[in-house]
Amino acid sequence: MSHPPILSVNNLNVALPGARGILSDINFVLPAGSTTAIIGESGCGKTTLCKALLGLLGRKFSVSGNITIGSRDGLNTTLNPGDSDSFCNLRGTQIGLLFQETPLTLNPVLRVGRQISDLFASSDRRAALQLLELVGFPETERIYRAYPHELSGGQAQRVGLALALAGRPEILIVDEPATALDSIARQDFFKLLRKLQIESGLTILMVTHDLHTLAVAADRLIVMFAGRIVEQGDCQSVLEHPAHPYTRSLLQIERAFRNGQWPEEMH
Amino acid sequence: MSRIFRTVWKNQNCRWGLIILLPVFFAGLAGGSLTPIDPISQNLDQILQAPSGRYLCGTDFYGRDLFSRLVDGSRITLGLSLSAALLAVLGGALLGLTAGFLRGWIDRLIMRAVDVFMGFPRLFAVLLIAGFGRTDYGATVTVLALFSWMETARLVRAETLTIREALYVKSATALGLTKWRIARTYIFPNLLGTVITNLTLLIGTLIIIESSLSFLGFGTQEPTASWGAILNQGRLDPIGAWWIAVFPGLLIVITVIGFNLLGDGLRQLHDESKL
Amino acid sequence: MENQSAHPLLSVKNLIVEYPPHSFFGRVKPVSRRAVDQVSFEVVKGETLALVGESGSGKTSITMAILGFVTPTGGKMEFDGVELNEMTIAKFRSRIQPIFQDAGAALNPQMKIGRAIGDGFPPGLPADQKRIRALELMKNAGLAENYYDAYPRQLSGGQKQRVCLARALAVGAGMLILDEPFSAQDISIQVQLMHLLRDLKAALGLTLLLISHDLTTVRLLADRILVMRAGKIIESGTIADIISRPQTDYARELIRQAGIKP
Repeated sequence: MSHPPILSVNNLNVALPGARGILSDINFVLPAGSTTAIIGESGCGKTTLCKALLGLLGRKFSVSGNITIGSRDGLNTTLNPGDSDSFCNLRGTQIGLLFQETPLTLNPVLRVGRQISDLFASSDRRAALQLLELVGFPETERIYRAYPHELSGGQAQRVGLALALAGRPEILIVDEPATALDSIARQDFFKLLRKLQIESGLTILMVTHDLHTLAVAADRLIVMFAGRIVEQGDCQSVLEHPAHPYTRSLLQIERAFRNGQWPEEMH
Repeated sequence: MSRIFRTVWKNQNCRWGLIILLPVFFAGLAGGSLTPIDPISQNLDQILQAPSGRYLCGTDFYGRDLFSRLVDGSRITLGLSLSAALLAVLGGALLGLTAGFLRGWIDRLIMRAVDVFMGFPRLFAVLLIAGFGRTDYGATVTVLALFSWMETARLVRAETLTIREALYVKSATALGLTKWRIARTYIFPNLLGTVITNLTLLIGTLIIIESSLSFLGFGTQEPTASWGAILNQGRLDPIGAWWIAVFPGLLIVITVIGFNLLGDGLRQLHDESKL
Repeated sequence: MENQSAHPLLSVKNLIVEYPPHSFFGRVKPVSRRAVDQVSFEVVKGETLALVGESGSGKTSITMAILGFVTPTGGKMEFDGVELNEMTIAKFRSRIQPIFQDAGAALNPQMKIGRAIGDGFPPGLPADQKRIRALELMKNAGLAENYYDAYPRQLSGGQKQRVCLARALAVGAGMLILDEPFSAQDISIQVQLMHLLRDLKAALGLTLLLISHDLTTVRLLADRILVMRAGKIIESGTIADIISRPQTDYARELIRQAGIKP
């Protein structure tokens, strides 16, 4: 699958002054219309990377390197992740973000539909309903009128997806979207993402630690460890021929689980 | 401890509040004994002198050095406000915690008490007591505290209601700890942030109330005087002897701003969960 | 199997947990929601029983009912032969302990770790004894000694869960109810915690009620499993049975989702 890259990260380094680096020598590209997964342990820098891609790093971080983003009209913009203001126009419209705990980001006293339509000029109800349909709700009216607490985990996550897609971004970053969901809801969610990708050419960057779904959901895989990328490439290839010890132990665990055996402890 | 101080100092509001309050506190601790001129000694051929090198804030109607009086007066003003605020906040927090934690009839009773006391205008309650002849320090502190505990009680009750639903409180209950133990070690420490912020802001409010009292002629009497009382004297010749009204007024304003800044800063830190 | 006492350690019969209709600004929900609908099961001493089902299937409500945090609207529960209700739960608190999904939220943010674990000890115990015993528990739970004076916020997710385990054991619990104890952690941490749980169970003869939606971890830890859906138990059996011969479509789906090779 060779598509032109829609986002490329070049020599990104992020550190807190006075402390060791958080991200070192990060280089990768996202081919348009593909799903790239980033896996790695808590603390490896995945979330910081997502923040950097949206220019959401605080001022106290020292940042070097840049990010190049291609847009619909073929123009490339190069941005410095440390400069938060330059990302203003991008957020929501070119890059969308879906959090891990969407239910917490919804306003509990407003109906769901209202929260979606508020994102559109003149609170466009129809657009909101269309979005709800896009993310796979069969009864859009009912969800439109529901309050956040009335939704199940999977439903809330889909609403979060609708919100993230409202601005019709070309790139979607999802940060551990399904950790709070049970296995069935999780599978449904990743299937939905795949469907959206095929239909609209969405490019997805997915941060996850769930190996189960990787093989099915991702085209490319990036493995992070201690702030560095230790492996990247086509998902299947990496999974079949892991080079780094961390990747290998993750796979060993996955294999053991599938066969009903106890995985070895990793340290 | 030093970690707490460093966090507090970094906050702009807190820092300026502390900077403003430092000299005030110093004056309050030292009192008139540190000033070169005795605050109560009268010097009848030096009455109503404008501020000069000798009399930094001028003299009053009895020839007393205003600067010394203000420094001395800070003890009264601060002492009264701090004591009353501490009493009010401690009492209010205790009642709020009890109401929020135990619920039921105790909660209803305490909340009705809050409603009743809130019906009384604070200042007039003190005036009433003063009218009965009790203008001493103790009486003033007591009455001020008696009519200031309600806000803290409500605040703490609301916070308690939230905290008691937390998972760590449920876990503590599951451990089999007594209600008293849970209130003391699981709920109260998590209330401190709110309580301290509330305390700081209340001090500012009470300074104004105490000053108003003294300004009206109630509160502390001669020869010791709080800032409000000195302000009261300034009424007699506000243009001619402007310094008698302006300096205490300025001090009151600056000190209250100091406490408000500190309180705001502490509230910010608490919201950011840094305290 | 070794000598069993005459009754199971925990027995739940026809449990019903309902959330009553409520009115919010005039919008009334006319029908109560039954989170747990006539659920019955038993847990034998020393076994690990798993409750598997999707979110909202009532698993957490069962936990809350057993621990006395929610009053069931119907059914009966017995612990060690004695009826469990709001009044009797106080006696059994030290014997059944919960381990929640969100370990961070289960720890008092203003309390140091060593003290939090020590809160489980009998109040009469002298301070130095408490410290010694707490350190021992920490060691068994895989926590370094220097964390004794640390606050929860200084610990990682996996470490916080270890603290919760140590605390549950400090009070001497023989039965643990674990509600999604691992799902919030990374895979590698999950494996570590699973090993810890297995070792503790073997060393102390713990009885476990494990609630999870993840069949893969359940498969390794549990002896028997109950499959729940919409508040009801739709299938039950030993792990081997369910995995090789699932009776319901839902169970089959769960197995498939977990990527388990039959």
